[in-house]
Amino acid sequence: MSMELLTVFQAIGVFAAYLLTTIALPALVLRRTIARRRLGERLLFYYLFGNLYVVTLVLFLGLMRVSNRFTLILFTVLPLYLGAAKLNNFTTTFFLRKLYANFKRLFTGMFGLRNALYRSRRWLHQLIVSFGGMMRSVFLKHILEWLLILGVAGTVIWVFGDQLLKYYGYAFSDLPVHNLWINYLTKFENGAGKPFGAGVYPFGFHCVIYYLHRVFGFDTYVVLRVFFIGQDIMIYLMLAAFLVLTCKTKYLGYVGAMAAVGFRGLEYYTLMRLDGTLPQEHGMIYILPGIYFLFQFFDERRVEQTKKNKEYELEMLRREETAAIELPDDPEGRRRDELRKLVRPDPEPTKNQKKTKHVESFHRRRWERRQTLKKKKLTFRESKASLFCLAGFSMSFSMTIAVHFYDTIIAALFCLGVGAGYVFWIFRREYFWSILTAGVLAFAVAVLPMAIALMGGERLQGSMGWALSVIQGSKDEEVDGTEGVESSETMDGSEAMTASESLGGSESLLDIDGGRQILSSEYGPESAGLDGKDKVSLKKPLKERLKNAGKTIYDCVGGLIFTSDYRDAVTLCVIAALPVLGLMGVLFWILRQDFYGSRLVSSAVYLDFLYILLSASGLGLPSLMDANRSRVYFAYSLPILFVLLLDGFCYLLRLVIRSDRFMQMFSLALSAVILTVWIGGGHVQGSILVQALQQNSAVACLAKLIRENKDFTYTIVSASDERNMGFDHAYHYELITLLRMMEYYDTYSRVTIPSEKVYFFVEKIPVAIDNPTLTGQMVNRDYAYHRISYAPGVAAYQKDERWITMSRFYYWAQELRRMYPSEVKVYYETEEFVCYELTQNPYRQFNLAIDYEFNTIDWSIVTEKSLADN
Amino acid sequence: MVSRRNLFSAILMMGVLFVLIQFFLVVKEQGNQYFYNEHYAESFWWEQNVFEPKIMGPMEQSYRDHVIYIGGTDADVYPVILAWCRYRKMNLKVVEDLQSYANWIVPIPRAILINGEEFKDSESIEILKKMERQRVPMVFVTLPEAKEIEYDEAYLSLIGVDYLMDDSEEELVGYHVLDGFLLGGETFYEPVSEDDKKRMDLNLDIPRYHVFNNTKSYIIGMFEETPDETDLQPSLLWRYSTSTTNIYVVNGDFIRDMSGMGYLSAIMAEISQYDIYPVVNAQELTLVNFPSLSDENRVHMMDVYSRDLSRFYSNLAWPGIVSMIEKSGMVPTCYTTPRMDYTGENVPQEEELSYYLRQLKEKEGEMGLSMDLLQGTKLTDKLAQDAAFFEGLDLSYQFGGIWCPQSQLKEAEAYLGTSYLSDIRTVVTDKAEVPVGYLSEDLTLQAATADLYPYYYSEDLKNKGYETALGYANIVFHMDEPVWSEEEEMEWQKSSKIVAGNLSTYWKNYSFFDRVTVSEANKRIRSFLALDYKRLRVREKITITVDNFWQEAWFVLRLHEEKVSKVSNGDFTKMEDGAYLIHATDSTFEIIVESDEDEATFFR
Repeated sequence: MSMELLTVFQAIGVFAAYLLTTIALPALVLRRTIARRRLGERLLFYYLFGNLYVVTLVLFLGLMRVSNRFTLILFTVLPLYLGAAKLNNFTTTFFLRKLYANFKRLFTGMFGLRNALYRSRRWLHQLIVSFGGMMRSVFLKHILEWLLILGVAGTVIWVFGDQLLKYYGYAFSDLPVHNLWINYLTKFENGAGKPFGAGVYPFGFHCVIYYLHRVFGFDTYVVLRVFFIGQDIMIYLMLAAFLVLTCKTKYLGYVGAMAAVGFRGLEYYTLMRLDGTLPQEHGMIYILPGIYFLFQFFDERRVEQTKKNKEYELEMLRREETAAIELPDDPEGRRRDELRKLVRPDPEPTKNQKKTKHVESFHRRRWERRQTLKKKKLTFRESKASLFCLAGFSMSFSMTIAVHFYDTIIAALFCLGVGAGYVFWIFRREYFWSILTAGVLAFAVAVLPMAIALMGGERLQGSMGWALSVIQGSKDEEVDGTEGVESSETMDGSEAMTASESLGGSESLLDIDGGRQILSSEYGPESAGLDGKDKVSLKKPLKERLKNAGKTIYDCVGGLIFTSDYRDAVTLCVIAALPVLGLMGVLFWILRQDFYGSRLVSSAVYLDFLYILLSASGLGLPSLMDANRSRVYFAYSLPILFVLLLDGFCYLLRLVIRSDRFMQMFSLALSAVILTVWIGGGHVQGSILVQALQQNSAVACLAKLIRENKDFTYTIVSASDERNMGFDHAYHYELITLLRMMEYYDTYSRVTIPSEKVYFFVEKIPVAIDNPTLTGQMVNRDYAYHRISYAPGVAAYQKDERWITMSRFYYWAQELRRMYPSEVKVYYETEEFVCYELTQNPYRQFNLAIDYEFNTIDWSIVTEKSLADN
Repeated sequence: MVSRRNLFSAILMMGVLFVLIQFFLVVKEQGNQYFYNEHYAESFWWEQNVFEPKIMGPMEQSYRDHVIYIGGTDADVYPVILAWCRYRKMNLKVVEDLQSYANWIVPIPRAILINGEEFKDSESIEILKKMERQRVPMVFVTLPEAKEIEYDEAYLSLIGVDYLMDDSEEELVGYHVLDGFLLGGETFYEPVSEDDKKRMDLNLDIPRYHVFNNTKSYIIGMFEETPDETDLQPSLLWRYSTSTTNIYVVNGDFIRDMSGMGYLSAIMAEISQYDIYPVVNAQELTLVNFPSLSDENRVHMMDVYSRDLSRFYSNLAWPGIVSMIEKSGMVPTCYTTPRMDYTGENVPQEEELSYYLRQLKEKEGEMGLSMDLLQGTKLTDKLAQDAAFFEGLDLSYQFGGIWCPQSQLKEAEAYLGTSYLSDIRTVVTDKAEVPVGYLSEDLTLQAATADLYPYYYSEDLKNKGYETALGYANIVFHMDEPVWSEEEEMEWQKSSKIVAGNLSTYWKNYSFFDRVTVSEANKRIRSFLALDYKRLRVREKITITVDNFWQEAWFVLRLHEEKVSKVSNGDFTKMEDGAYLIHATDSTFEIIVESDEDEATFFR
């Protein structure tokens, strides 16, 4: 089997397991409860519920230190069973009794085999029929929508699928750290796993990966390698779902989602982070569903409140009428029936009916009564629909907090946008308190596990402080390069066997920058034409300041979001479209399509915030998020702008023509035109690839090792990465430690590795980390004839040091092979990589400290000349 | 109430069952020839035909496989090396005087075997060091006394020794034979239980050398507590890799008896990219003096077992033996004797003989004759009385093998081939100069390789050597001991447990070798001794051409990083990692080997 095929199978398996957990299982429990909701809403709700459940389950079991496969499955299946029992109105005793009765009948002969077969066949037939019915209602009736959904997924695979097949290793330096943290969930100390092993940090993403690893048996490193493709599909499907559900038209949303990933004009760095299974990108999934549910909440609440008002008014009228009946005759001499006529609800006055002063007065009184009526609260039963939406919003917001704070920031910005869009309504009692409560609940659910951990004595993870400092502007992320997790992560003694011994508690193994300096100035706001001079200065006149601000925003949007080919053409459109969207929202307010207008205004305000966020440093504002992160969100949110604009236009037509069908057909035609221009015009994005920080061969070799060896019977000696990747299978010994242990070799040097098989991962062509000029160079004697690095952490594997380390390791391995020809053999070899297998008897381990020429150099007498001569 | 109809049906069914069972018994009785020895077969090599190695002087040249032995021919290792060359079909170049030996070794031998205890002067060491540079693997089959070389750095560095450990340090408690060297796998000779302590007879007073880093140990001494740094345990047999060659050093007496051939074969397997050599492939279980056909030692038998000898055999001994052979998969060869004590008036019973011939036939065993005697009986008397008994029988059974202790071998030799011993083709003895060979022109000699009771560690270590070199084991148990011994431990209820345990434990790892009776082993030994072979390897194909081939032959193939994929004109059995038993059915056969990576292209 080729590694490509294996990777594809793994990706499909992981994604299927994820969908099973987060959609299929919640659907089994919730489907009847929310059966009346739209299919899209249901799917979103299942998905959010599933994810939140998984995260909460893993965290709470972890905090109780009972997280393992058994408990995870138990607490997955048990609620499922109880839910199903409640929905189908059966109890366990009833079920067992029925089962017993059936078996009894079968074994006593009352129920013959033929009969059993017949019933089974009938049951199977019914099952197939009902399944067919479900397929028909879910799929066949919405075939076009499903095709478009497939189109979105296909576009994602088109753009990011190549990464899956071309680079097997981790492409981002964060990933080994996240891998380690997930490993902590499996095993931290005394064999038990623990959440927040490296300090309190949003652990939602890690919980999801851990759950897939533990319950379905996928290796963590496999999930981290392949899950990004499923994650990306979900990110863009969520965008599509948001657009489709928010819009009045059915099809433009899908096209928008396709364009968000497949438009060639988008800058590489707006998409490249999606080539990795990273928490921030995972959290993007949860931003938009919550916003949709918030939009929908307003609609539903208004409907419920109106209904309640009407009912209450009728009730009041009935009471008044009853009271009037009971009234004695008027002292003024009016008869009872006249009084009754006075309080009876009048029919709606027609246009031509001229309102008399008396009638107007009556209506005013009614309106006043209504106002008092609205103060009546809705009961739970009456507000089910809006509570459903609030629950969706709450879960979604909770997930963003649980996964990554940057996603929370973006979600919060959109919430602010919603606040602005619904400014005339949101502060009303029936909306405000509900939303506030939902927000607090969302926050509490997400933060509670972290709070428990903090109260239990856990410290905050280093990157939390780092994130706060970035937000406060005290630390410039662009200098640091990568997220603080790397620099703060240290290796402690609880880690796999020898690695900890080798590097000591204080040394960091995992602060690899990974050569992924995506946040460097090359691609930062400066590259977009911003420098200190252009920054908006408060000393300048307002007009000039506004002009500069406009220019800054223009430069940032153009420079950071779009490629040079499209920059000029698209940037202006993007900037100009925003006020148009806002104005269109206002127009809909005027046209009494108030909540639809609010959606547009909310989106426009949100996008405004993103513009500011993107250009914050250029505008001289405090930067909540660096531009390289915010541009990912910006590019992701751009379809909202265009799709809502087009949708608004279609809806305007609908208001004029008054035909829903026409609007949908028009939107379909518009979608077709956009697709044709997009694809036919050659504006389709190519593959987005990110060079991995590990050789493909190393990953393939690791997979082969895991497959062919019994767990924990072998040790891998390599440069760091395999330590976390093979966590559940192999011991790991740090390569640089091995070399250091035999440096200045003498007969007392001793390095032994106590396992029967030891595998040495040697890079013949080292991976270029932070020094692309060396790409493709073989290890050689020149590099070997240098001192090895004694710098802490992984400095020995970066830049030129990697060549020195690998060259030394290569020549050491050659000498070892010469000494032990039968015991050391090539296990796996490609042009760039070789893995040697050492077989030894654990009762008589080989001393791996050998003289391999380069470790016996007396550096005190080595001169520059002798170095050059060598 | 049972109806008549049901009663009739039940009776009919029982009748049918009875007839069926009886039918099979009758057929079995009629169809089997209990008094015919099916194992007894004529061999093509009826007359003595043995490959003899050419023993060359220092300046003689041989272009067939050969080794150089440097040392005196009067040394105790020389007969072992000579026998080993004979069995491996190799020539032997003997160099007694190291100083006079030319520096240039042409043609290249497979190895240089050095009797290290003879060469400890500085001049010899210099020559040996020069020899090392000629890239020929060297094997120090013995070492000088430790105190003689303790401070001789030149000698110590030549054999890869770092230093001699202090005697006051922790004492050795056993040996550890690491896997991949001798056949039979990894073994710890460490007395843990009381039972183990009884078995411990290994020489623990052995020089404890700490060896260099770039060495690989095959046998190590064990301390009470295994140190964390496992290389601190002394090496007893190791390989030292120099920049030019590998030097194998045997520290101990492993090669001073015939089992040392196994160590030499294992070293050759380590030296070579591949190594193939012929083996006998025979595992025999020899039960001496069973059954004894007379009612002897009655008082003792009644006292200990509450039954006479015949009942003891049929009720206790034989069921125990059956259980033992079924567990271990062995095939017994029982050496019967009409009497053990020829001083009394006991008369051997013909029925006893018939009974055990039947029993053995059903267990695919074989019966031989025993020449063992109780003290005080003359061999001539025994032979005369036995001849009278056997000749008086109308017996068509051919006894192919005879058990004769070494002490009586010379005297007995004259009678072999005469009278009732005319069918004898092989003699099994307790001790012999060589494990397998010819006693006379047409009689082969098989030596016992292990005594099942009590079976010491040294015996097992030797057994490993025999199995590795020859694939041959002749495991003996004296069945007269439970009958005649006064020791309580030898009583059958006790000794049988130990014997059964030993058999199923220590030969479990050699299940790939055939379990045969004495006549089958005789045939294989004749073929083994007669054959000669040539080997040729071209890439993955190893071609073996066998001279003096008859019917079939067996070879052991040792490989590194490779495995056998196919054998033409034969088949193969994987014994251990890198060790295969090749069964040749033709005089020319080919072995195809491949890299031992299971799926070389997986995950590429």
